[in-house]
Amino acid sequence: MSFDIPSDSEEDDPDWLEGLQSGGDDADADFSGSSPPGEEEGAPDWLPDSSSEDSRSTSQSEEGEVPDWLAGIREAEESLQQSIVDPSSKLPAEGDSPDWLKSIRDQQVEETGSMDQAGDVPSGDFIGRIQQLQAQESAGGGADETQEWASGVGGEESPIAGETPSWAAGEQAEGADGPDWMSGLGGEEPEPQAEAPDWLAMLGSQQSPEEHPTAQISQSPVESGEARDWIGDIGGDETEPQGEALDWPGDIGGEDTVPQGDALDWPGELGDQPPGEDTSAEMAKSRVEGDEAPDWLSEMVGEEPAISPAFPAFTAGDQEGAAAVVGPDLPDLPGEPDEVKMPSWLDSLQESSQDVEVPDGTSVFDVPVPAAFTDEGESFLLEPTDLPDWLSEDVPLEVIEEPPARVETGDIDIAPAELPSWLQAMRPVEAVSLPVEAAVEARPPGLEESIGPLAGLSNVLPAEPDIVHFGTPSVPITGINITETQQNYARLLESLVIGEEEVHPPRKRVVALPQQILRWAIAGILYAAVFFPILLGGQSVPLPSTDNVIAEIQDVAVIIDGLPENAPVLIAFEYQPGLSGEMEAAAAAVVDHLLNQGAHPVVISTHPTGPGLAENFLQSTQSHHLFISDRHYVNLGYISGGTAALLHFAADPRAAVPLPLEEGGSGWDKSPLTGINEIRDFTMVLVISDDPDAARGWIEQVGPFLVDPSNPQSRTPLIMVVSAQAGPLIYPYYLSSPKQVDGLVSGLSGGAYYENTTNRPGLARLYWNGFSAGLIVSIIIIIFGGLFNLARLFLTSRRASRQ
Amino acid sequence: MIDVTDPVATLGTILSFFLTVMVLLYAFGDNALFRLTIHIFIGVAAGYAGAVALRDVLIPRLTNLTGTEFLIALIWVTLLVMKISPRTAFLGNPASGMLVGVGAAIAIGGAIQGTIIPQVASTSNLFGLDMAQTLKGSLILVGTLSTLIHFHFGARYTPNQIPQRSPIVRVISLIGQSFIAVTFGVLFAGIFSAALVALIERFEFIVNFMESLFSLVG
Repeated sequence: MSFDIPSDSEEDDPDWLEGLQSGGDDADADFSGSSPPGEEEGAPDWLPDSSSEDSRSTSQSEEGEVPDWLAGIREAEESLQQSIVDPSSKLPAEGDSPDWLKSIRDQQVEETGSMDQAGDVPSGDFIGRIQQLQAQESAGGGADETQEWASGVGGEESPIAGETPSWAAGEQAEGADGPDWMSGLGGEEPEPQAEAPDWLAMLGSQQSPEEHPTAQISQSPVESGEARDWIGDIGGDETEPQGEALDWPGDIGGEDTVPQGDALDWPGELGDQPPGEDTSAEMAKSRVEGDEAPDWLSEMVGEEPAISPAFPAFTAGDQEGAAAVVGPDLPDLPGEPDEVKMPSWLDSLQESSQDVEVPDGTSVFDVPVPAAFTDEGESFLLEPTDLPDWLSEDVPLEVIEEPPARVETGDIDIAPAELPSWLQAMRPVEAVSLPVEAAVEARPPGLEESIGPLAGLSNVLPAEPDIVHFGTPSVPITGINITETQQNYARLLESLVIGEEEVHPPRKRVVALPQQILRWAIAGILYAAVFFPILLGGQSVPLPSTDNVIAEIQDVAVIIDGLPENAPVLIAFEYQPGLSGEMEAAAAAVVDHLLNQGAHPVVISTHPTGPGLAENFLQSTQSHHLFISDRHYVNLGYISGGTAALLHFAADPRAAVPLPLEEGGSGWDKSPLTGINEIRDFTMVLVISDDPDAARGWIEQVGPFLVDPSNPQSRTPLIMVVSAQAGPLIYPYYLSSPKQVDGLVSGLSGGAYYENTTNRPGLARLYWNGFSAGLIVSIIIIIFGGLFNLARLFLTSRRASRQ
Repeated sequence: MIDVTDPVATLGTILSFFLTVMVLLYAFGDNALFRLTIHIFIGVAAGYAGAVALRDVLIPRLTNLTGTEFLIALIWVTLLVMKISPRTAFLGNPASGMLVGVGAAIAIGGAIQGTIIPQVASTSNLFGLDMAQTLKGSLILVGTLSTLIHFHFGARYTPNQIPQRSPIVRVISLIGQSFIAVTFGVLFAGIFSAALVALIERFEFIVNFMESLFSLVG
């Protein structure tokens, strides 16, 4: 067994390492086997206090109310937590080394006479001391001692549970169950290897002896062959790969309870250190502080026995037991110098340590063990009165179950998540019909997309197969929410469609007899009212009085009166045969007035029946004029095309109506059309129409051509004789300014008024008696009918109210 | 009325008398004589219109056109005749399209130039003349706008309810509806007046025919 541990210079070592070294100097033998006995089953006697002793000396002055040993534990916990958060914080500057550490070093120098050489070595150069031990071993000296402590280390793996003191057992149990600090230590998440400093990992990297039997201890360094393991080899338990995390918290609470590599190890090294390390430091601290030290510590210091050079922390019995457990099979501590690869900084440390002289003859592991950690000291230290309840209780030592091993990430089998019920309720219907997993698994490899934007591509991931559902769902969707209104609409549409398909036989209209009798009665009354005045003749009803000035009718008379003789007048007959009676009665007086003024009428019509009606009108009503009876008037006939024909005729009358003559030439060259080239060449335009649209067509299409472009004030007058039903619609054109219609005669009443105004008898006067009687009877019938319906409604409502 | 020397006219007068009586029989309900008279009237009117179109339109147009004009007119007429058969009806679409398009364009242009602009201008001129004319113009404006709004069928959609107009539109629409009712009443009075005059004219004809007949007999 040999160590190839580089020595270190004092300047390069951090203070805490110096402290460790100073402790380690006393118990290097234990340091190499850093797993103290009782880590698995039972904590060694020194273990709890070893971690607490360090801090006890520093914190006891501040926490006087807390038991010293508990304060020390808290202090250790805090320091551990700080080291977890920031490992670098555990590296105080050399000048900032705690006093207790310095005192420990001083104490070591003073108490261990064999530490003379170590005292020459820099305080933090325990590595150099290890090298010295190597050199001594290689020289044959001290080999037995080394084997002894090494065997003691190996014996740590099988501690005797029954020998575990009650307080330690209780603390161990608490570490499993209860105290936060212990659980925090034991349950610390492993620091990533990359985040932990290498030296820290190497110092603390230990494994549970359960997981790494001692048989593997000697193999692992060789197999790994990494220089960083050398310091782990000092602990003797280093078998885990470097990639494993550190274990230090587990070492405090019980190494066996901490998963392998779950926590940092360096603080655990404090607990793993041989008892002599801490106890010597504590004793040194006690000496330095003098009276400030507690009594028990003072007594402890005073009773400081001679420390066993080989196993200072254990009693002889423990050592023997440990050796018996390990026996001759205890493997050699790793550290073959040829196989170890040192990191650069350790190389430098090694080089610098080689220059340091190690004190002769004294083993760095010869650390005095204070009596407090012996059986005697234990009983002294742990008085029942000083113990808290949880420690005073005789808690049986329990083997804490090992936490489940870390699961390899490569073999992670993640269980499918379970959706909560409310989330399942929010899933779309398609998701229920076709689960996502089924949809994904149902896709054979290499399947090409047939639809969608990825059509033609194969091996594509399904894009939300249950959301982007191109086809119809395999499970029919039921339970569509349809509002009542939508249902009504659907029923209405359905009834309409069905109604269209049904063939209804024609029903014979059946009229109720009273209604038929009423119809006959109304017809008889109306016929009688109209027929008898005509049959009786005379003028029982006076014509409309001329006292009531009707401007549009008087304007017609004024315009006609102003026509020159032989003036060509265009007369448009735009009415249907059915209304010829009204139109002839309304227009007869006007045309008669024209003929009396010597105008030469030119007849035209956009209705096919217009020319015939014009001939009938002139021959039946105006035959007393020789101009008409001799047929000197011109009938241009029918012009087809409606409004377009009107526009054409207004723009170019000669082109619109060719008027070919049988003897050759054109009718436009004959009187009265001679000199007519444009529409405004007519002296007047008279439109006789029963249709408001036809009358409006003349206004819109022909009216603009009646204005002289050279003199806008000069305009060919446009006069209209319209039916009573068209009068209200044409009347606004007369009221417009400028007037679009210069004169208007509307219906039989207008014709009668015109006859009365111009004092010329005509059809209007003949019809006026019957017309007046018919209107009166009609008004009476309407009033009577209204009263009858009102009475029936009243009776119906009264009957309904009675019922 | 009845001229013995003119048998054609006398025959026509006699037919007119019977046809008139047959039409008036409709007052006692729909009957075969009334339908027969209607059929005769429609047939005679169509025949007469065709004869007039042939005489006043086709013959003069076709006989007085030059070669090119005749060819163009013949092409259009031929295409329009293709509408007779469903298989060749698509060939008449250009001619029909031109007729409809030209007619619509002329009608719209005439309406804008001959009705809308002059009527709007004349109505606006009513304001500011005097109080009576201003009230008259206001009445016309209110009637026009309310009538136009009445024919606005936009409605606000409400879930599960029948779409309804906004309250303001409903009030204005009610005013417009009253104007429309008055207008329809006036139009109905005009139609009734025209029909009444036609009835009087037919009764006058009947009386004259009967007097002629009685004078001839008696």
